[in-house]
Amino acid sequence: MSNRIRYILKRIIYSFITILVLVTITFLLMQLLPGEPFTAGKALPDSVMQALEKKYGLDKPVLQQLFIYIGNALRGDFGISIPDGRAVTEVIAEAFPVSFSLGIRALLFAFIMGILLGVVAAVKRGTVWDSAAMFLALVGVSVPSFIMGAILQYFLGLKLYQATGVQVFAVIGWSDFNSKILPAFALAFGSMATVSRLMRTSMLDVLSQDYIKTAKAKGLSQRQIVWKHAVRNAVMPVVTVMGPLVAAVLTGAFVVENIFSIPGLGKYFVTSVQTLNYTMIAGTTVFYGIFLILANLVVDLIYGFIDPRIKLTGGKE
Amino acid sequence: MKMKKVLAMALASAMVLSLGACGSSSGDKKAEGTSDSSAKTETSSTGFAGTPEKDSYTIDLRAEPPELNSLLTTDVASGDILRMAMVGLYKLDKDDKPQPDLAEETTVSDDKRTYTMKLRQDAKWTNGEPVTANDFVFAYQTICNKETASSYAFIVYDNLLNGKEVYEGTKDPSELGVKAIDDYTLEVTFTNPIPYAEHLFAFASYYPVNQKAYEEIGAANYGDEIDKLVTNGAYNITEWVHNDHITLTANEDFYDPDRVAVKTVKFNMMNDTNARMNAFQAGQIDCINLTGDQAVQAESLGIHVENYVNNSNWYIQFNTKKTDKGLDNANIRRALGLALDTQSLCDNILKDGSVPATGLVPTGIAGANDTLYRDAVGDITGYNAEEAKKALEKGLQETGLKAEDLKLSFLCDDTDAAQRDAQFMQEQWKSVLGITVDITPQPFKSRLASMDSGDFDMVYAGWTPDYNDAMTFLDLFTTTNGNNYGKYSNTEYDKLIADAMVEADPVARQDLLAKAETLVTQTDAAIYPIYFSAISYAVSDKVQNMTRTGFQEFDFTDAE
Repeated sequence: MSNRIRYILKRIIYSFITILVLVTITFLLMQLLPGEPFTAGKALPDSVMQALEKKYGLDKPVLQQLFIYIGNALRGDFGISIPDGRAVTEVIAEAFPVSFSLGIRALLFAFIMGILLGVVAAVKRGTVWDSAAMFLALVGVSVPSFIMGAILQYFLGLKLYQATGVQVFAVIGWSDFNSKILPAFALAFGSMATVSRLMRTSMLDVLSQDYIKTAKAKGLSQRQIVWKHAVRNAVMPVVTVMGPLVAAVLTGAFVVENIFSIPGLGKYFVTSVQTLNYTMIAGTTVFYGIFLILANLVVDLIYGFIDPRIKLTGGKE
Repeated sequence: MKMKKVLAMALASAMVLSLGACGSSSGDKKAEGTSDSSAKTETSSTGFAGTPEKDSYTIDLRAEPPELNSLLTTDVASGDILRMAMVGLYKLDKDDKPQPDLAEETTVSDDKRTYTMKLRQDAKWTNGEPVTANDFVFAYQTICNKETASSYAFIVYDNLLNGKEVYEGTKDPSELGVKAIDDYTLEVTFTNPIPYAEHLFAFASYYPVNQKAYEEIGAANYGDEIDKLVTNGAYNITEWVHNDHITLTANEDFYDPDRVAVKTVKFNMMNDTNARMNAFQAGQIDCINLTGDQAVQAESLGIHVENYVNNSNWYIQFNTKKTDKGLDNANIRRALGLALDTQSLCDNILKDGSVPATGLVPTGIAGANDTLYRDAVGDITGYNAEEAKKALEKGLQETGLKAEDLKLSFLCDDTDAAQRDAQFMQEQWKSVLGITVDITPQPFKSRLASMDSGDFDMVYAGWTPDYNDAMTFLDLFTTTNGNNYGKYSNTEYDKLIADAMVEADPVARQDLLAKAETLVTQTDAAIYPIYFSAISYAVSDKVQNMTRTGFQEFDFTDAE
């Protein structure tokens, strides 16, 4: 147990250093972007510009700004968003739960459907079930979420409504249950495909192992063999990709949020770069950074629980 | 990889075919059925009845208002919300003409610089306080305080007596040209006579602010949320989910409750153009803006489509310092402008109701004595291929350059729309003048930075007016103006603008402005106007009494 705690502590310290580097690089790079945050096509009088720079602390040298920023960030103050004047932490606290809610739905969907498809494809290897499942996976990795989103919105949102007169799925928004299905599916589709392909390969590998033959020889039913012995072992590689998948779902959420008009964090993340909203660029980047590092840490810990053979102190592999 | 794409395409088209087939025929039936419930009488029903909620419109505002503090706001979306939630001294009517609102009785001094206004006494803030002359004094003094850091401070301090001195702190705020004679008498004094003063009084930067609420909430947070704002208008802001929607509900305590078009207006903020169209057809939204292609498509679907010229223009600004490329020569610049078939651009590329520019000042801008400026002044610029060739020949002679020496680059935004326009022009320069032009698309902020540093030959830029007067377009190109990125400098032009600023006679002033416009767009051709932009929009059958004009993107307070 103490080994595990030491490991976690070590990981947290590394994470902290990673985030410091992330903040510094983001902060310096964004200042290199051409332009300034205050004008939108109309030149401002010099004195007005000075007043704005003073208000947002941009009148100081960049390095000094960086130290002030890190100091404030350590106290939980990520500055105020330009030009709306709202606290960045407030914006994140409001918008991230929406993105998270969408992301969790998409991830659950991707894992459950992906594992099911993969298992079916492996167990029914070479049959039409296998081909169908793998065809779906192929479509999943080939069709990006913004096309999937647009297709779902047009056919299941609009055309189904026009055909039946009932709003089965909402075209836009994030409120009732019927508005949450299409975006989650659009976001999940690609990840589901990755999971199912991985699961199939892994299952095929496991099913050819000696202990499966032993189980068969003991006279266990097909269902018991698959779900008790094969799936638990085969799911390991899938758990390893969970970290990257969380990243894919989070960063991919922007386009889906855009198509379905969902007030998530993705929009702030992308538009802040276009509008040179410095505090928001830094705030969202650091936040996503922390979130992804945490997600990877959690995945590594889960790994240890699922497969007791893996000793966390020994590193990942 | 190829195989995957083929399979994906096959699957996608299979979905299209199967679902499309079952959707179309019965879908039309549904549309016909719902049209009966439409309450709209003046236009025939289209089958797009709109949202199901009663006494409520859902409108696509597209963008989130960054904030609703009238002292800080500069954007269109905030202006739309404040127009409905606030009343000022004047209010724009359906034709963008200012009409008295809080100012019941206005006396203008002989020199046309001092406005004395008797205010109505039954207006109230949402915190229960009466709206008084002091609220205006407080607002104007606060926006002219440098610490407020308002981007639009200059709209007030450039005009009000002693404005600049107060802003720079060399004069006391009490010396600013705004005084409360008593609680309900306000006196505003301008530095120069301003023919568009009443229009300014209807502008957000000139709205009153309730001092008590502003100080209780604090300047830093005022207007960030609906509980951090007090208003005094026909609608109350009852809900604000950031980046999702803002809901306005008719204010029952308002002194003129009949002016609201509908009890509730919900403004949605949508980004994706296809999603807008889908949501409109699915009856989730009542009014959306359309791209040119969508306008054509919408009309073919039987959707009610309207448009209005929104008083913005797009023009080419030449970098007059690029002597090696001949851009210091007026004839070469004029040739580049004259060569563009702007009618064809509007008809075949834009398709949203935009019209070819006939000068720098768009058609909806007011002129002297209740006329429109463009009507009074007439056409100045336009397409003429023959003239273009002649001007080029003359320009090349004057500079000693050859047509192939003019390796010009054309800076534009990296949006699809801007690049499409630029490609159209590139083709025309090639075919009419034989000049090869490279297109340099850049993200918006980068384009501004390139313009600011003079790192361009020609740039595709636009302007939206700050107030309803030709001056908002014409003072941009004086030698010292920050928006004069092409570094155009002509003392005659500067003098015409300076004279117009102090001219009290509206017709004489308009003549000065017209001379300046001809000088900058024709004689010197430092700027070449391309088109006056228009907004096309789809509207459902239930929407009535909606105002959409060049100075009021949305208004629902014009009902009679």
